[in-house]
Amino acid sequence: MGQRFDITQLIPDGYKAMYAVHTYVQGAGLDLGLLELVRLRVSQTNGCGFCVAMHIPLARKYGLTEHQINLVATWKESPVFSARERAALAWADAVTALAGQEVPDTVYEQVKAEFSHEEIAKLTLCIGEINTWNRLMIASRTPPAL
Amino acid sequence: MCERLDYTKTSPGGVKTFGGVYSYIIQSGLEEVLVELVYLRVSQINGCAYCLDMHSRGLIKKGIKLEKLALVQVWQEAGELFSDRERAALAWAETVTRVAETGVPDVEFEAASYIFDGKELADLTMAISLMNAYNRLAISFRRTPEAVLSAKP
Repeated sequence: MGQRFDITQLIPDGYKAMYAVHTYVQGAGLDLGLLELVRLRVSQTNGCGFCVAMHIPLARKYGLTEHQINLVATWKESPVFSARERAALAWADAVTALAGQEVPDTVYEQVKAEFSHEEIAKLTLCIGEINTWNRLMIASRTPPAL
Repeated sequence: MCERLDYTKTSPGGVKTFGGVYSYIIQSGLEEVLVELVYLRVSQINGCAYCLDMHSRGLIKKGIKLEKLALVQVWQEAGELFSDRERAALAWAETVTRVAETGVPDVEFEAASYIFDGKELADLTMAISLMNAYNRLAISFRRTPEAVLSAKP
């Protein structure tokens, strides 16, 4: 399971451009714990080992409890998330899954009940961002930093 | 099917940063048509109307024939219509887009590496990953395709 290629070395300018997206999302005003929750969930869905290993300690750093971190993979069945967190997770799941499927109105209504338009746009930029990193890290088989 | 919100107005700063990645790809050295074919194929898989409209127009503008454009979705069955580079890029685009199912297996990586050098493959992966983000923005907010706007009386 060796690394296939290293984007930071091969295309430093591309990496820098992508990192600017990250910097924007981090400074967009959304709760950093919520962003980490979403990044962890999307990384689980896409199967990115590097990203899961990175976002668990960050989730802890930004205030998620051990129970929450342990139960992200089964968030629908877990009573440890607030309505706002559940809406963000449902939105992240729908926006990540796609492949010809719609992002349903029911999920949009749920997220709209908890977030302003501006927050929804920023949350979706975060979901887009982590989907990008997941693909880059899985395709390049970048190993988790353990 | 109305637009839910206009993220280019709600979050212009964020859209601009993704634009930086888009600009990077333009000057990366990858052939324009190759990149546009990849953008179209990724958008087909994800089901993004706005993006299909945009990248079909982009390909026509760059000189691709309608006969070829029509067969992008079934490129594997289109014989010699697509070059070796185009076929390798489209195969890589499919496996990287469907990452949750595929895990991007070695056999796909070896096939892509046979055609592309390291930097080209890194750039191509960046382009594919970027389009996956753009598709998600446009689909989530039901961004209206240009064709629909121009069909309105």
